[in-house]
Amino acid sequence: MSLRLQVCAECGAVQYPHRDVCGACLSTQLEDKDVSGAGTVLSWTRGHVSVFPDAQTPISLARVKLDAGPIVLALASSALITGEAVHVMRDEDGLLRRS
Amino acid sequence: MPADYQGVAVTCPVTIPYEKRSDKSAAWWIGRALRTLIEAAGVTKADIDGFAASSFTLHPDTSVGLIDHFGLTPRFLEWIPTGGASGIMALRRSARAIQAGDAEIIACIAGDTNNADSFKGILENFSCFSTQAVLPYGGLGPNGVFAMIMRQYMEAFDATREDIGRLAVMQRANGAQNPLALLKKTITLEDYMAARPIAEPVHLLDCVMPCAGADGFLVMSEDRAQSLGLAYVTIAGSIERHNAFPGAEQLLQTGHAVDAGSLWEQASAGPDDMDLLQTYDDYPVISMMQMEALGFCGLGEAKHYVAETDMTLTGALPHNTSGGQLAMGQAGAAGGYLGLVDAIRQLTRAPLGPQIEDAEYACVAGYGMVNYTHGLCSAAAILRRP
Ligand SMILES: [Zn+2]
Repeated sequence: MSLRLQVCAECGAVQYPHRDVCGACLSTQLEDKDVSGAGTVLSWTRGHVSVFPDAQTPISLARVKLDAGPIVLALASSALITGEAVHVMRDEDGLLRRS
Repeated sequence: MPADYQGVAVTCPVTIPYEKRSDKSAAWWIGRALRTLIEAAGVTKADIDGFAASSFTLHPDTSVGLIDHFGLTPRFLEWIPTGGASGIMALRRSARAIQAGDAEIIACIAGDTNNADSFKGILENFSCFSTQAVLPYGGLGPNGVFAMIMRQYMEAFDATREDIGRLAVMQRANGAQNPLALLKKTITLEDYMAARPIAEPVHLLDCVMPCAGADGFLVMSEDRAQSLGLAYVTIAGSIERHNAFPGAEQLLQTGHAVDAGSLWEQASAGPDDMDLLQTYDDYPVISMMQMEALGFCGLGEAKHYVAETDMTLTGALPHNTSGGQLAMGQAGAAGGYLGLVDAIRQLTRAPLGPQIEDAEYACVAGYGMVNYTHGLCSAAAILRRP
């Protein structure tokens, strides 16, 4: 399973969050490419209080180190364990989510 | 080693009493602090030739809009939008300007209002990265990000909620003696443990209460402070570091760790010499990380350090002497001034509550700005009673 993220055409660094300039080499040549969505859970939380009045709580959120390089925040619909291998994809809202 | 801060005085600590909600603007709060500073120093508005401001709710204005609003004509102007690190950054910049002769009296102020609109505005417009990659992910706000830092810390160092709660309990005890604290009630460890979950493992008594308020101080030469008859403190050393660990998987240390050696070398002192410690307490676990990063204890050892050290006002190392934001509330960017201002009060013998006996040295740390996964800005200063 792949994930579409920006990749630097000059140094190859995968970017996240979205950038206008490469965070590694400052190139502006960033292209959307398919990268691996595989990663490892660094930490996670189960949130009970949201600023969105219609949010369905609890909300599981993980900080994930992608094998492709960047660290992302991703929603999850089931329990999480630190250190577990996960796959991250985009859901129908375009948000990163554990698949 | 950076040049010393010889000849610089930090004086007139001011807190405009916080309020839970306010229909006034940030400029109203900051303006009240400016007037109070001028009156405390016994100078005129025209004598203020330097101005540094921080606020999250002043938009679209910055310090530029404020000087027009207040009728100031400074020859030194700073806008320091770094929240929890803003107070020490204002101090450092102002101190250098005084030494260089770029200004004679600099007013440093942070202030914010608080109402439903202002809080939502801060969350929605905090940073480009957080707007696209944090906020849409459940709208957990800073609680969610700090919860993940807290969990990582707890798992890495086998720390429990009890280990962290002890710090909150001691701090709220300090706040109970502060007439300006919005939350004057003491808490027990049982209260801390029983608090409702917000973003696990963050529970309610880990969180600060948003409020309105302003804090400020003046920076001038020692000569000027003496001629005005003002009690003041000097700066024995200071550091700042931003984005200390880019891309770090383990967010177990604040950026203070990078420069702590320089801080203590500048001050010719060490943690054991400190009579009080102020850390940025937007979540007690972050205070523990600052204690470790600054060398008050080793990495991962804060759970023992906190358990073994009385950090109340009569203890071995009073910590967050006003009760910090956990008791005072978080008046936006003023939260980055609170510890500094209260340290000046203690060292100049003008405390809000009880005086810490013979306090000569204070270590003050700031931390702020969750741009994405963690706070990027770290700063610290050692203050000394002359
Ligand atoms: Zn690049």
